[in-house]
Amino acid sequence: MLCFPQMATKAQITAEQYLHMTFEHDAEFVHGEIVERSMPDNVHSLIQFLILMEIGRLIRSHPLFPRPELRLRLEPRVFRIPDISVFDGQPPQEDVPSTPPLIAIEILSKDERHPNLMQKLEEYRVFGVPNIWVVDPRNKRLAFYNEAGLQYVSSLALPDHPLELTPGVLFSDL
Amino acid sequence: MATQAQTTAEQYLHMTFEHDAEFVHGEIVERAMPSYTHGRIQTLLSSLFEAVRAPHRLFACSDVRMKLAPDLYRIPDTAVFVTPPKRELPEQAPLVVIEILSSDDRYHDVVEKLEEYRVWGVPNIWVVDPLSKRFAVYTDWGLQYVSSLALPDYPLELTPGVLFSDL
Repeated sequence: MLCFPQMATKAQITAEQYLHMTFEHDAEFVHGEIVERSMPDNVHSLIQFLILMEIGRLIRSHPLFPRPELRLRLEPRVFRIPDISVFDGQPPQEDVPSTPPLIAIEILSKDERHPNLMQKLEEYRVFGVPNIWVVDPRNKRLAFYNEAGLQYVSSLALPDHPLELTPGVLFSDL
Repeated sequence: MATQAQTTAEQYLHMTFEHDAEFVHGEIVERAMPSYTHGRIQTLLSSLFEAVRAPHRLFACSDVRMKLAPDLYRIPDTAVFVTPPKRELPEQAPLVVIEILSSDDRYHDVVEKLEEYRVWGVPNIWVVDPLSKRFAVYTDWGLQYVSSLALPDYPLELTPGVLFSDL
């Protein structure tokens, strides 16, 4: 376990060094800095489970490949770990995929930093992720990120697959 | 950031803080510590609004405590009123509130506050993010990026060039 005193250490390291480090709770790597993610808590874990259950219903009949906590290489020096990535067509071939998934889902924690969240969502957009979904369990809200901003929506759905995440499905146990 | 011990609004109003805090349903809520960038943008906002004050009767004020509800006091980085408020701690929603983000602002704290301004009836809720050098407006739509911040009835437009050029 490597310990870092703050959200981001300022010491610069290379992507190669990052990829050979281990973390008890996996961290991200953004332009030479290790960026720690929020520690998982009960609500975060429950929501992640419920979303995977919903997607899990479809995987036998639809070419959807959900991957929780998978490191993605967005740029040579930017690695992010969406709470859930969903690939379509075929499963990712690389251990650390460098092709954008169909969906990237972020489940917000209570200590999520606003600027860090928005930066991450913008990186997903530039990477080419067409569906960037944000689940906010504390406010029981769903939102969709694109170049226009972070838009509240009543449900998160895909046009080509029968997947719809609603507050009823995700938040009824909270 | 928030102490859990409950306080009354009356107690809060008689407390002093080295860096002023907010009061949210019985809890003292500390704001992000001021920094050069934050203060610099706040200064630029004040001067831009001050330039249009006389002809257009816009009264900008930095760091004013506002009473949104009996147990809810917030302190926007900048508030802009169309008439000078009758009370020292204004109880009427201003025309504009502006929040300047800091790197350690928590998403939930920011959105909770923006939503309170919306429910209170603030028609223009502006968010300035010096880190990404972007602007957004908050409405029931969500947090929407805009290329500039403007008021339809006033000749005032805030652009990234004006606010971020010397950062």
